[in-house]
Amino acid sequence: MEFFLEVSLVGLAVGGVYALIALGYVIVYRTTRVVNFAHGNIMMFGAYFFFTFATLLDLPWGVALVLALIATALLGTGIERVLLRPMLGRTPVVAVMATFGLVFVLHGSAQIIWTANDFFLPSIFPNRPIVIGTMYIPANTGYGALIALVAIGALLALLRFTRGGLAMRAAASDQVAASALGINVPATFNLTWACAAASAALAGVVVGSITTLNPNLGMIGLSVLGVVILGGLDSLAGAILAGLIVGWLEAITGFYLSASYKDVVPFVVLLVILMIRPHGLLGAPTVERL
Amino acid sequence: MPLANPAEAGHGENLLEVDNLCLRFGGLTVLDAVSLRVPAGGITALIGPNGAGKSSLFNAISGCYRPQVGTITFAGREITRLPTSRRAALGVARTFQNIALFPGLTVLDNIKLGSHVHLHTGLLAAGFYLGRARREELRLHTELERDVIDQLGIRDILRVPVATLPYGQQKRVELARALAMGPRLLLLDEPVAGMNRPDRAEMVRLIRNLQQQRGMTVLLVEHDMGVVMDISEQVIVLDFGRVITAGTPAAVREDAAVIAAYLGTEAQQSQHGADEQGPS
Repeated sequence: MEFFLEVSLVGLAVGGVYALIALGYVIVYRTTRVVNFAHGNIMMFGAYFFFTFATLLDLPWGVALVLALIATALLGTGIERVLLRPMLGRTPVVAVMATFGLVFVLHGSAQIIWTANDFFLPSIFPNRPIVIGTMYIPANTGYGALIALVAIGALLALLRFTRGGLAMRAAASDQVAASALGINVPATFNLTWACAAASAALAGVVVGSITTLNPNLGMIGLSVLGVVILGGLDSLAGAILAGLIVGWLEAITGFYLSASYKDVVPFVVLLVILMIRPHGLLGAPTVERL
Repeated sequence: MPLANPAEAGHGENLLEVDNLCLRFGGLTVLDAVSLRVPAGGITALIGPNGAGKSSLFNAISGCYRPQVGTITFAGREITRLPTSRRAALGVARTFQNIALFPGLTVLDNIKLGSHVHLHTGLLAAGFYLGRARREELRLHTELERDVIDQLGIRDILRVPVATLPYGQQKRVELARALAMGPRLLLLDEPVAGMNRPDRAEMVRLIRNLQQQRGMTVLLVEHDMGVVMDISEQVIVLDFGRVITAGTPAAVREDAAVIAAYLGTEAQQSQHGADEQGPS
């Protein structure tokens, strides 16, 4: 029982990080109706930016983190402005394909810029594990989850309580009506991408701290797409819930069955749930599926 | 609502001038050299048979369509190439034929989005500098309550998601949202379409009152001839993408070209007109 609790807690911590990554997908999808396949690789770039500022340029990690968030947000707005803006008004499938191409562009660029070697991110968390009673949570996972939690809270507040958030929801709902109200729809999309990319950068730093940094880090982000589908593409709450579920399932199967099952079982469960609830746990039934 | 900048106001007598506007979709000419004047501070109606180009003209004025030729001048400023959102910021508000509310949002959030154009804190600023943005929102909220919400009698439904409202109330909320923009020019696309008689009368009364109280200019498209003749000071008639006449309701009612357009001349009669509402 004690093991079960400990494993569950670690699983939920990892799930919190998944939830943060998943939110990035959902934010972009909700507003622009584009499934951004490159989200994981933007996350990977965020981790590399942090590595560049913190290790290569030897800046204090706090400064490096802020710079990495800004740099990644700029990358996100750049992608929206250059790649996706010209496709505005066409069916979102075109833009989705463009983001698919971007996966390889970003992956290749990272290899060219930073090589394919493994790096370790400077440790920003205390080295001692978090101890709750007799349970141990590894430091990187535990603190990473805390950061993810704070970031998720901040993102939700941004969407819920700011005018920009309301504008995003309006633009998502009806672009023509939104612009008739004076909402600059392209600028709103740009802001959306910036928010999603910044959240991805944070997730990238956390994931990079838990594992190591190499260009394949983006694949973790891509596998979170399953989490997003499970939660419902357009549901913020669904993304969080599904992130926690998948994280927990991974930890439990990894512990009780074998580590080799932990990549399979959660997705089998995902498929089963999708058979019962095709729009995801909390997704709106009207969402078009790909 | 912040009123229009007095320096901009009083530019000639026409708030809106459309000159030689041509709009084509591929080989189809939707608007053919349309020129018209909308005087400041009155109600102008745009009528014409189905397919005459009324909605297209509306969309060109609000910025949804880009005409190939011609100019649109609003309050002395050419807006032909401006994006829709900039026109809205200048004071052009509109409603849509098929009601374009945001169904997932509450009535209040819909209306708040209308006042979006008047908030001066940036999109993100509202997040980062809560103090100022919050104050601005509160001030706006008070103004909205006084000027829009109470006047349209929608106080009781503010927290209700618009998707659950009956049609007539949705029309009202859409009007409220447009009014929250504090517009100088209000474009109403079929404001009484699909309404029953009492609702229609109420809407007509509301539009007329609002126009007089706020001194704004109203341009509306409407099929209900009773409403058009009742409410407007000027009537502009479109047919096959051309302006065939413009004048007072009484003059237009007698105009031979209008009667021909609506009822068809003998030769045209079998082609179109049978399903149109005639002038009443």
